[in-house]
Amino acid sequence: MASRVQQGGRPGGSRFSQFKLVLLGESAVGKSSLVLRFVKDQFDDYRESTIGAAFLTQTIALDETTTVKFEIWDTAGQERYKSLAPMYYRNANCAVVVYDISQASSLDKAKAWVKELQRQANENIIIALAGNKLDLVTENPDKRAIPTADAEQYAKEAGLLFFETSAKTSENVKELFTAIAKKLPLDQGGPRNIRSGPRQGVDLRPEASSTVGASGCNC
Amino acid sequence: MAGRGMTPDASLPIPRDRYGFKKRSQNITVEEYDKWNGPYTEYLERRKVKWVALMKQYGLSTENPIRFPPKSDKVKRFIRKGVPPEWRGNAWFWYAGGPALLARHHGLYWDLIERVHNGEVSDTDRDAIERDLNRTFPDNIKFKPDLPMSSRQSSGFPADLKADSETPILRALRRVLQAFAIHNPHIGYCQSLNFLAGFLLLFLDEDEEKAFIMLNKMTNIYLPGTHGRVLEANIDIGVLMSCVRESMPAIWAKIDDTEDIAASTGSSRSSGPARLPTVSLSTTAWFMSCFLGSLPIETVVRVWDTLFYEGSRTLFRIALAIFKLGEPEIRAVHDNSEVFQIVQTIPRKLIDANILMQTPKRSRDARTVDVQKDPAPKSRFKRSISRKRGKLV
Ligand SMILES: Nc1nc2c(ncn2[C@@H]2O[C@H](COP(=O)(O)OP(=O)(O)O)[C@@H](O)[C@H]2O)c(=O)[nH]1
Ligand SMILES: [Mg+2]
Repeated sequence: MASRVQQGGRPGGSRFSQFKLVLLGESAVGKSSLVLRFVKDQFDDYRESTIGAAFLTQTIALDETTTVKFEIWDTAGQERYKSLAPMYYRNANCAVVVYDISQASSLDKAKAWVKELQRQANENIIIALAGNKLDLVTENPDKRAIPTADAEQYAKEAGLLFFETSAKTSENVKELFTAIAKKLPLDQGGPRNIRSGPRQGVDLRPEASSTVGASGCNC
Repeated sequence: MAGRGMTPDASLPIPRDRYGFKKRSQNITVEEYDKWNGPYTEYLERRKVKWVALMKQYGLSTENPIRFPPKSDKVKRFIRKGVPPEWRGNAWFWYAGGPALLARHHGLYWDLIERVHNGEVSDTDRDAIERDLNRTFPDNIKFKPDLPMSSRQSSGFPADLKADSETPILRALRRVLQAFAIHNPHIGYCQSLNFLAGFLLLFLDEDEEKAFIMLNKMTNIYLPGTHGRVLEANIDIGVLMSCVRESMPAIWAKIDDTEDIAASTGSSRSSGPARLPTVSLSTTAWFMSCFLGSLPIETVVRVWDTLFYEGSRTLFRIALAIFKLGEPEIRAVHDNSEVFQIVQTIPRKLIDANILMQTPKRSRDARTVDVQKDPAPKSRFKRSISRKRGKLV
């Protein structure tokens, strides 16, 4: 999987890394909406459901010198897509597993995805659990089906990052992705490669020890 | 198709195409649409004249016709150049063998509706259908009418407006999908059927029975297994990828990351989705939704014209044509992630259906995937696919 992690730095000391992120979770919990908020800072009350998968990218600056690019695969949520799931999460460095805090069953689905990721995906994959549609319960607390403490407790036990989010109001969306970026292994892999031209290409400078694949898994 | 942003002037009606879809989409501006649409409208008028002559030759009505000329090379050419928009639904139904199917399954749909009322739809399917109804063509005026100006200006609509705003076509869509789920226990409800059925309803004057018949044909004959409870969409993609590898090696070289994957995951899985290149994820929807959402609407209708006339080979031919048209762009990329973006974006920009329909000029590529001249049973389809794979891989 490390082959998808591209790292590099410019002489000024800035760093650039690229990671594959996959979104999983039941249909209609708001996966696509979270991505749309993160990538374009927009929200649609009415948007088409995702068929198969959609690919998006977003780059964020962690600090003045550190940039992280997410390659995001947003997936369809229906149970039967599970047969395609390995294609979604293979090589993924990180995953956001989403549930809808107003739908009790959606957390069970999320837990099943977490389990599958922990069993089948990349060993060091960073998983974040996102309880979405927070705005619904801010408006009307009766709509909450999953207490924050329950989800938090589960996330802790399973070793996941945890946020309650709203794609609609954008609450915690940026925070979610930033927290993931911060946990990614930006510092591993020895000296930085200069990123010039084709990122996938081989760096021919003799002093550059490739961060790609050299030490196996980078994260 | 999200993220429209603000309309330049909220007091103007949203510009829509001849089918009621917003002209603007994620990848095409209204200006681009209009620029293409002018000459295309003239093209449609010229084709209409030819179609009228053809129909007269066969003594067929040209006023809302329900019968069309028997299949021939000439008619096939006519179909590939596009059916007049106002005849489209009827032509689809006719060439898909709709009248005979309707006669054979007389009353079936209404029996199923009866069973729907008796509560025979499973909770899972019912629930999944409900989740998708409002996410079906929100850009089409029949599915989602323009709201009064006052509410359009606010960023979100009050929740109770959602319930009120259910249009007749959405209610018809619910019934068709529910009836379909009961009739096809091996499929039930699969995401993407909402788009297929919704599009059929739109072009068949919301005739639910006809839409139901056509949806059955599409999912069981053109794409057997693709939407099943055990999703077999990856078989279609496997065939497509084999064809790309064989006929467009330079593209294959750019998209093939199966080696990297095997190396980095140490995966011993040698078959199944694990063997498909990652770009396959972008092509899943091409088959499942028969290009709805992937190609612009006018291009989709042209593909469907041919689909109902020629059958499932059309889907492979078009998928290969998309790669072919995208070849310069794909060959120019250096980075895997650019490939994903490009393969996803190429079809969305293909507003000129004529170019797509004429690619490739020679039909060799299409013939290599001509797995289904006649409506073969599922097993035969699968066998021919594995034969095909054996030959191509
Ligand atoms: N109130 C509210 N609705 C949301 C939120 N996120 C998504 N939705 C709505 O939930 C539905 C499903 O969202 P979508 O992103 O398509 O879900 P996906 O199937 O998981 O990709 C849509 O109608 C969205 O408008 C949110 O944070 N708050
Ligand atoms: Mg989605």
